[in-house]
Amino acid sequence: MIRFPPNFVTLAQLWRKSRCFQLVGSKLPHSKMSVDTDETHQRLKAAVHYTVGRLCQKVGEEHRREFSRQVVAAIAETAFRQCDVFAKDLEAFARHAKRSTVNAEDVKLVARRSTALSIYIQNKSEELTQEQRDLKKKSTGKRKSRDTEEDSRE
Amino acid sequence: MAEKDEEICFKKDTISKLLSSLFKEDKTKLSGDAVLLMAEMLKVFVQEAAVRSQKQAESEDCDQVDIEHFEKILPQLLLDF
Repeated sequence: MIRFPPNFVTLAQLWRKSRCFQLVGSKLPHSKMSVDTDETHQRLKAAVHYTVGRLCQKVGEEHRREFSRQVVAAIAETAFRQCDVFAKDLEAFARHAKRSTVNAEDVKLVARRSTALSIYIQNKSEELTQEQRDLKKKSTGKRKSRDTEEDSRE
Repeated sequence: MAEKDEEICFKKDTISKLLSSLFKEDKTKLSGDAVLLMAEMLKVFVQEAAVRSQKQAESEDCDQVDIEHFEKILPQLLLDF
């Protein structure tokens, strides 16, 4: 069996770390990222890129115009960076309300800059709460029917 | 919006992991509602970018939406969000 010298692993790790700093450190100076988080970062970016690609394709089909790959990549990158701004805002709003959990109210505040968007988000939020209410009703309804079934069995 | 099969949207997991990784403090959490709304918001952002670029390409009579079209609409897009 081949035995690697003890410093082999550390050298490999060093190489990976330096690579990671070159990639991530230059873009995000405040980041405290290790190799692990860098990998998830890349995966998240890929996921965003994929969905952006599909959305662009849909818009392109509707208007019979193709999106170049460069545009899709640029939109994905912009969306990714916009997320950074959104996250910082959400965190600040939640903290201002003395909460540690970001909720729907904070998202409504993030959407405040354009009226149409804030109305759209407001409606979506109401839809969501309505859906949840319906679900709760259904589940309690089921529970009740189950209870009655059990009662009848007894 | 033409809804053919299912609506294209960001996955809930993606958004929640992405936002959580961008928070400055580790103890900040996200509620389920907030994640869904943020997914919707990001979708609107991307759609807006795509449609505006497409319109720019249309006004320049181009068949393909290229990076220069996106560059032209980017400043206003960022101001609107």
